Amino acid sequence: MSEIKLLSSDQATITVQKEVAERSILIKNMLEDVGEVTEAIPIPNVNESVLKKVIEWCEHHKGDPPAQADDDSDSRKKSTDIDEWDQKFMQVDQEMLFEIILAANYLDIKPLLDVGCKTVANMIKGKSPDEIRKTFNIQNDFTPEEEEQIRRENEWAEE
Amino acid sequence: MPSSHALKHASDVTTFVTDQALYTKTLCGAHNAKPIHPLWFSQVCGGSNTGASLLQLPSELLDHITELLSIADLASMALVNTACRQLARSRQFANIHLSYTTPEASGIRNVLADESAARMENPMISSPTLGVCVRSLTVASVILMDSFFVRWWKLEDLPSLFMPEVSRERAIELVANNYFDVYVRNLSDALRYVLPNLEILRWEDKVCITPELMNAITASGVRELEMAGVFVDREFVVDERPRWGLRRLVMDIQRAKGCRNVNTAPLCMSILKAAAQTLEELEWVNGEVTRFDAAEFDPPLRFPQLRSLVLQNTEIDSELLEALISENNPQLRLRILTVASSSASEYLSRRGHIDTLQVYHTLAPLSPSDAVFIGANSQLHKLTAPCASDSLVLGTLLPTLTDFRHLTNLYLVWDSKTIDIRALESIGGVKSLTHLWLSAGTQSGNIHDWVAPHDAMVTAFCQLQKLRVLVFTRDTYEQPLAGEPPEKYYILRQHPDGVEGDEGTPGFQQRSEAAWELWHVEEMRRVASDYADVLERLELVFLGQLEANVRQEWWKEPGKRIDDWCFGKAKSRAWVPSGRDKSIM
Repeated sequence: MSEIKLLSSDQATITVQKEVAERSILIKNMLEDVGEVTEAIPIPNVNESVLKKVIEWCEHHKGDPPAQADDDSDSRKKSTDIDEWDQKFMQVDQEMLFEIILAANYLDIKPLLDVGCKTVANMIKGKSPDEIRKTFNIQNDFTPEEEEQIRRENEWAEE
Repeated sequence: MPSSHALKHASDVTTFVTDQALYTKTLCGAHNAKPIHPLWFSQVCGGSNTGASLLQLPSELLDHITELLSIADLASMALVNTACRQLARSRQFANIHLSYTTPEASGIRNVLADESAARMENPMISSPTLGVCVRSLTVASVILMDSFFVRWWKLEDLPSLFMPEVSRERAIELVANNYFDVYVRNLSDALRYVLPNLEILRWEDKVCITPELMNAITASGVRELEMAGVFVDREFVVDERPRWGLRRLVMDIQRAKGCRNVNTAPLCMSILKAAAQTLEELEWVNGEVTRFDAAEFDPPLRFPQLRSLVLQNTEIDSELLEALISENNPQLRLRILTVASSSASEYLSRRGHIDTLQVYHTLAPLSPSDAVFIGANSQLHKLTAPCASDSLVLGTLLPTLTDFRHLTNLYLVWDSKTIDIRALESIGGVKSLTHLWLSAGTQSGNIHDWVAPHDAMVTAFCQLQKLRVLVFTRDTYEQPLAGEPPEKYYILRQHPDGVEGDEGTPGFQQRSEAAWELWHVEEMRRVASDYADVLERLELVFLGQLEANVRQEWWKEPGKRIDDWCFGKAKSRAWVPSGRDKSIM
């Protein structure tokens, strides 16, 4: 099984199976373009701890079938179901969660990006405004009059 | 067992050769169209993005997250802080539907009016707004005078309270005029000042459009404009907009009730002129431009980007048609064409073959020019033609059609009370047909004078083995009792055996009608079965003002077929279309 090396933004070299790294479309395309590589591939936007976490996810999911690209039905879009392993995987602090999402986006790993976004959506779903503020440490900057206006506006929004 | 050959919708009868569905889908059902994608947070935040790391995520990822939220979750999010409110709004108000009959729409309109006023006062203002989030706007109201005005304006009390000197009707008119003026002005201001990201505007409102509104539309950034059955009560033109940038236009502008002398042509032409340079798709419905002088336009009116043209129930001067489908535009993808004037037909006969054309409807009686043009376009899929001259139909049109290998839908209507048997035999030779609609005789009013020769047609059409839908309209039948003409078949409704009881006794009329109805259904069932016997793929027959649905999976069982014809009585005018009815043209 061939291996390649990745170089994180903080200059750590991580060795990973080629098959695992190729869960990243960015890396896959890069390898296809350059052929054999012996040097570490620089991943300038992702630090070591996040890169290791992303590789952990890729290793677990290396045998997954490719996603159905054309399935963009509303029910699928709205679903925020996450499988058990991924749920545990995403039990990290918020900073790491956002870092994983950004890394998945940069490395073009769509299924991981989906899991990350679903995790964030689940942190919002069913919560009151105050609970959302607490979850994401956001300050309320509304006056009572503005809040009243927003409540009215919310009633006009269409599904 | 559910059939895989489900009953076609009623609209099929009127649309299967006419592409009416195109219009109804894009116009009347506009608010059901696939919603446009909301904007990203960075495009709508107006500098409100501060703090929390959630909101530091790139816009496309925030979009991915909010996509997963329900309307209730978005409502909660809107109440978190200013930035979250704007993030929620980008989804909540990406596609909005305004109507003055609902409080929701009034609320949105008031917000837009306030935002317009603020923007007019200070053009440099950059606070986050609702208007900036709107991508598609549908303006469509149903005027329900009683329910609406009584509910919102307490109008019942108005005349006596405020205008004792005028009638209630006059009071309604005064208030309505005032209200519509405010409504239209609000929306005009919004279009000019606070909807910078608006992509699609669907105007389906029945309030007359004004010059102010039209100029606001052409001053907006709208790329797709649908004006679906809008009214004008005066003549005007829109200002020239060299940078309008419209890509798609659906234009159905009609004169308002009581404004017979108002000509819609100047307005339509000015809109076309304003959009000419960028227009890619044009669907023009109910238009009429009978006089067009190309020499009046300097530079010449050209549509260099036009790819698709639908002229539905639209009569335009041949020079204008030439400007629209100029041979100098090699990129033109003309798919559907409806013409209703001899001058347009003459131009087309000179133009000849149009490679991309699939659907051709001629609304005026078939002329030699039409026959020439049709003959030059053997790739046609759908064809509609009123047949006035037997010699032209028999001698030219029908022999040509047998070579049309792609022709699936054919609608022919004769203005005589009979159809020549040779014409029916020729139609029977167009083996590619899947949909056939025939009619003859008077096409308006409660008059049915075409005695449909079903026996001859069953024989003539037996080779049409791809036929799935067969429609006869304005068909009538010989009276079961001697002495009355077929024209009165649906009026007298005579049962051949009569009905027991004395005429004039209570319930006699109803019993008589019911007996005739049963007998007529049985008669039509028999005729429809004759067609099904010879046409294996037949799914639907419409005849005798009844629809017969062949459920093929059932009817293949021996002995069951007759019972599995599903008859339904004509439910609306659409089932019995008249020749002059726009809905079938």
